[in-house]
Amino acid sequence: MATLKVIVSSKKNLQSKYGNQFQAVDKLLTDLVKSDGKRGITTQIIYIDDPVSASKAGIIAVNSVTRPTAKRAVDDIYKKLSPAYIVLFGTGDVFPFQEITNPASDDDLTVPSDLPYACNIAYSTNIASFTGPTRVVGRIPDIQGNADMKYLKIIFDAIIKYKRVKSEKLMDYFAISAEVWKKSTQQSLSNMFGNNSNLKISPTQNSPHSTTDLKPLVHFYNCHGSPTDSKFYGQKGNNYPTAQHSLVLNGRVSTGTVVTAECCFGAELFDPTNEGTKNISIPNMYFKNKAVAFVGSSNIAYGPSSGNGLADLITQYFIRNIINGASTGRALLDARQKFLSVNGPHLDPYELKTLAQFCLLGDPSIQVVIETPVKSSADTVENRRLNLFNKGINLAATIAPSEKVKTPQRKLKKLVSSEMKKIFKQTGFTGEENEVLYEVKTKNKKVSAFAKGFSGKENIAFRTYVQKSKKINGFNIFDVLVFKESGNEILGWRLYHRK
Amino acid sequence: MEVVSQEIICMTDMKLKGIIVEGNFGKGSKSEHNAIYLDTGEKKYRLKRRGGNPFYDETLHNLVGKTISAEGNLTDYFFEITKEPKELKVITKKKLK
Repeated sequence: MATLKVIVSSKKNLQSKYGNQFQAVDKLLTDLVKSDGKRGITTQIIYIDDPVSASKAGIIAVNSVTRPTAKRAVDDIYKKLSPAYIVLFGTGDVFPFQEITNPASDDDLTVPSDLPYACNIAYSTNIASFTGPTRVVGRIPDIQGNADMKYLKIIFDAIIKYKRVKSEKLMDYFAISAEVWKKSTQQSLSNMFGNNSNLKISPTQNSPHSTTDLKPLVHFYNCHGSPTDSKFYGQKGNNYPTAQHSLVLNGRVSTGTVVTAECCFGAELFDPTNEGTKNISIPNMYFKNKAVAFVGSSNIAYGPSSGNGLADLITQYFIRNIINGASTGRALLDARQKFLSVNGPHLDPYELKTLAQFCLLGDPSIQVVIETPVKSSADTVENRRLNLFNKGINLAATIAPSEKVKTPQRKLKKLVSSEMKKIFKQTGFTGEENEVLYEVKTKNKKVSAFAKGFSGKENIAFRTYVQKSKKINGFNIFDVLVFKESGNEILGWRLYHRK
Repeated sequence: MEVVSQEIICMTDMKLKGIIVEGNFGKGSKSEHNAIYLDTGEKKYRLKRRGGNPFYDETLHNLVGKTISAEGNLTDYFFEITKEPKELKVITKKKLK
């Protein structure tokens, strides 16, 4: 029987981390394989650094698990077995996150990401290589720096005993937003659930939230997050109250909860010994309380304060796919593809960073919703993967990512059209802000020719202006203005508000 | 154990001296804010008190412009102060006439 799901990990790193408890860890994985078998999923455990295990999968074992060797091993497994679900087991100290060079101009040097594992392109640190995701990937996380068997038993128990629910059950939700992003969150909720009546605003609806508040099976966060921090924060002016705290979540979350967090560092998996209050991360705490999926960002994230864009989109696409019956892994792959389709074919650096930084934690083969049999059609998992693979390949062929140019052309030429001046005025910019130019390498000559038809030039670029901060209520407030242009023609513009 | 992940660098029990300054963190992002840094003259360290609010901590904001010595741990994004920072008196050398 064909392998439908693979669990990929490092035996050496697990042995090193868990010591004589490794056999117990391996038994948990084996129990999951058995449980999958009962629901018709053939699963194979592959330790990429163990010759026997690797050989059974038809790949050559790696000597040392590094980012390049881990990526190559996952690619080899995919070529050999074409699994419908790829599960990476362990946090970064067991199985590495890939690191992508940060395409945006901010304080992050790199973007820890599982996106490369979902793509058919060889190891690279350039996001431009990964604009055509084709594979379903999720990561079952243990706790960074901690060999906590009790935690592992809970997380595997939750997966094995998971019971699907009717889609109506997912229409009730727990949602919390920083006050400053209220409008954007209201729109996201309306897009997902058809209403935003359950939205909590921080301040004033801060942590702790009651068991009743947290009972719904879908949780949605649009709050602030900080590195190595077990809290999410609200905001109004210079008041940043605690909107959620991992400690308070303990014992209050329903089994089978699905979570998305737009927060910066929302899905960061840190070692709790490095955290100020020694608490585990919010995603780890959700899994400790039998949540089944968590989609969030590994570092600094972006989105507008009103309207939807970037982080808003990828998280809401994910939830809508879950409600519509997709497995958690397919829900993210489809969300990534939709994000690319909607924002493409030309992606600005902030869109590229968003694509890379949002990842799925949890077993990607879990389908949350009970399938309703349809008499008029049927679709196998293989057919769904074939379609998604095809879409991913097409996206890779057409999506044109932008890359930073050293000297902004506009500053050299001092060319600011009256149209740009009008937009500057409308958005409160002057044109004297910090300017960065990103050029797009269009992959399709016909698209270039089409651009030339109206602008006289084939090239397409994004020009970003980052405002100097204005002090309002003691806080630095500024916006980022992004122009899309071809030659001297402005094709569009977007305003990303400070969040 | 081979370290293969995004390493969280953590140097513990460090002592730093410098001037407290304000600066921007996370420009244009969801969590962009006016952060507090310790400028040692060689490097600027973003500050946070252990267990303190990383976005707005009045104790640290009140120290802006002052010279302090602080003990704590250095992580990827912060110098996390573990003990109450000490304000130092700045002695300005008078010019000899």
